[in-house]
Amino acid sequence: MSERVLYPDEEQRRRIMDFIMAAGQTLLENGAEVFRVEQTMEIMARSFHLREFHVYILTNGIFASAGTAEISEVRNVPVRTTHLGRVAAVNELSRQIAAGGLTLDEAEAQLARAQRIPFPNDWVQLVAGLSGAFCFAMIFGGTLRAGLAAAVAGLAASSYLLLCERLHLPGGFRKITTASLITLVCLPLCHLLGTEASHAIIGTLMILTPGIAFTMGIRDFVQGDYLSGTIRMIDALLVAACIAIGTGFVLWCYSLLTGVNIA
Amino acid sequence: MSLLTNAVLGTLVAQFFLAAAGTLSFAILFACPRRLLPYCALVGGVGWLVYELAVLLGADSTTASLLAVIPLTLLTRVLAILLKAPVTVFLLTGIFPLVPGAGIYYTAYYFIQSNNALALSNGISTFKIAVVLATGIALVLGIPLPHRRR
Repeated sequence: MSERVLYPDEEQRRRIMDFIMAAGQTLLENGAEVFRVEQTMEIMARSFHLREFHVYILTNGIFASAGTAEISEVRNVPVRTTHLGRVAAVNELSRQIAAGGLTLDEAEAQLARAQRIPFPNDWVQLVAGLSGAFCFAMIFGGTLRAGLAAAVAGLAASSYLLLCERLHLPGGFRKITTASLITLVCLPLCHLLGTEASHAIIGTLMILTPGIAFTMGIRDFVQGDYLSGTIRMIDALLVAACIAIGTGFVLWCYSLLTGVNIA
Repeated sequence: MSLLTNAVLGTLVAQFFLAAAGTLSFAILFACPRRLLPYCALVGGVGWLVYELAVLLGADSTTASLLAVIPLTLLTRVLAILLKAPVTVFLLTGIFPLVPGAGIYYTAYYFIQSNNALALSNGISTFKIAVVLATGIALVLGIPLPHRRR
């Protein structure tokens, strides 16, 4: 069954379908755009001679059928992270399949390998969070001191996010508390260093802000995927609200406290 | 060219490297394949450099975003073909400096503070930038590829 047949039998069709669904799910889960996932799945189906393959994709789900509805599958994709390494690996896999160089067995093995590509080490993520916060605080017009404060806050925020990941805390809570933490670190530090806190806070918040989700949501609209675009935009707005609640609360407390101190 | 004094050039170079380093950091957080990391940084740096140049020449943030996203997306397409990687990898990371993250935050922040006027004006400018970015990307990605090898 390792060879690619022009007219796959029923069992093979099922295997091919499972493989294509798994590939699509991997792409969607790790941050590929809706129409790319659709395109990749269709290319794979054509290459493996799976006839009458139709697929409908949303930001959080895949619906597909093959062979005049002989096989149909649904996948729920509730969790979305961004792992571009896996996206690139599945893309490479589809390139090889389209070139005709892979049997189904090999393709399945390679997909399993792509799904297991790990995230970078914890300390690498911490350093990346630190330098990212520093750079964006400076880009937003902060002084070098504001950059340093942001770097400290970035380190704190990314270690807190890693901890949340371990403890499986819910997303909304995670975002609100991380935003609070960032503000809580930046305010006294910037006060100590004698510089404005806003650049440091916004630079560090770039770790959380849904700018990508927002822009990609509008890209979905431009592409004609209105439902997926809406899902992404609502997601982005909710995340922004979480961040604003977390930051706003700490800022409110701070002004209350300092106001009391001055009076 | 009296605009490009040494001091201005210095800031531009500094901004380029800051944006590249910032993009690199987020590319690492997004688990980009290691061999593509420097190219992601390059894309981010180039996008932000064009943006800064446009702002320097008197463009507002929306126009500057459009002017920056076009060469950025062109670069991602060239890199995608040369390095045989999906455009998404370069686009998602490279666009990070241009994306209106701070704008969304301010909108939500003023909304919660019930400062409606500021929330609305921030919201509109954020929306404009996001639309312009999406349009720029769609324009450049819409250019058909010359079919050579098929």
